[in-house]
Amino acid sequence: MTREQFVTYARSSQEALRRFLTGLCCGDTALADDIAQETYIKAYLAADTFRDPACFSAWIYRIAYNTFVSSRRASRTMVGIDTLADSRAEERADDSFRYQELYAALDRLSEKERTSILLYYMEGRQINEIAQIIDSTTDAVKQQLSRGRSHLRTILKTTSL
Amino acid sequence: MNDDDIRDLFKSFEPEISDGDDFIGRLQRNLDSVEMVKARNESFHRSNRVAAAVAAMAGFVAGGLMTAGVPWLKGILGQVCVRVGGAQMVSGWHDINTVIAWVVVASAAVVTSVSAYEICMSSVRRKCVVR
Repeated sequence: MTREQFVTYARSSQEALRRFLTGLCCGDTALADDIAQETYIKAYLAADTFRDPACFSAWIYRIAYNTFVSSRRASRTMVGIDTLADSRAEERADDSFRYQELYAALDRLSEKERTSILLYYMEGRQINEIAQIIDSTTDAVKQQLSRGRSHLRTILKTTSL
Repeated sequence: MNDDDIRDLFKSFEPEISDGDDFIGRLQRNLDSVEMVKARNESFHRSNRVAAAVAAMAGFVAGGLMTAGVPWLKGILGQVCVRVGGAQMVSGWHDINTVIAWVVVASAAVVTSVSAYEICMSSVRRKCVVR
């Protein structure tokens, strides 16, 4: 894959990926953009080793998910527990503030639950695709979706969305 | 809240993102940096391979030349033995002289090849700094 082809693909896919990452980062658009940049750079560096063009989108999302998980781990080691407790979703940057309650609810889900929920409901992806992206089995994804749904219901009911 | 409500919730969920052209512009700049680092790494690896080949060649030549000088080296070592310990030491030290001569040959080959490698790599580093 040449650089031009890669940039063309990035141009067409960046919007969906960045929206997904913004959801994953609970409205932190700056962090979502940084992760998206890192994702595309990692994908560009490994593009030569990638063989199946049909799975390209799932591959990019897998890199994005792994980059998100690594960045969370890194921030966990860098930021103290007290600071983390203060970083509530309500305080995160999203100009419209339209989705603050949803972000707050997503923030309370586990990383895998949140990813599964976003990929399933926001991206409309199939269970097997989600399993491929988060490196899990289809049964585990079904379980995460079910748990995520029930957590979301409980959280949103209490915040009366 | 049922499953359809969650579906509806996400149907209208469209987080605001910054301008796509700005994002692609930033990506292009990042890719330029990546290309630059990649090119530099490739040239470094190429130079490293050349330096390793030069070092192997230099070590081989030095080893060959020193091997040709082994009889002369053994003679010198024998003379040293005679001077230090007298004529009776010469027969006992014959095997040790041979070992010492080969150790000298091997050391000279290793030192030559390491030096050749270092000289090659320092010239490459100097070229990189000049660029």
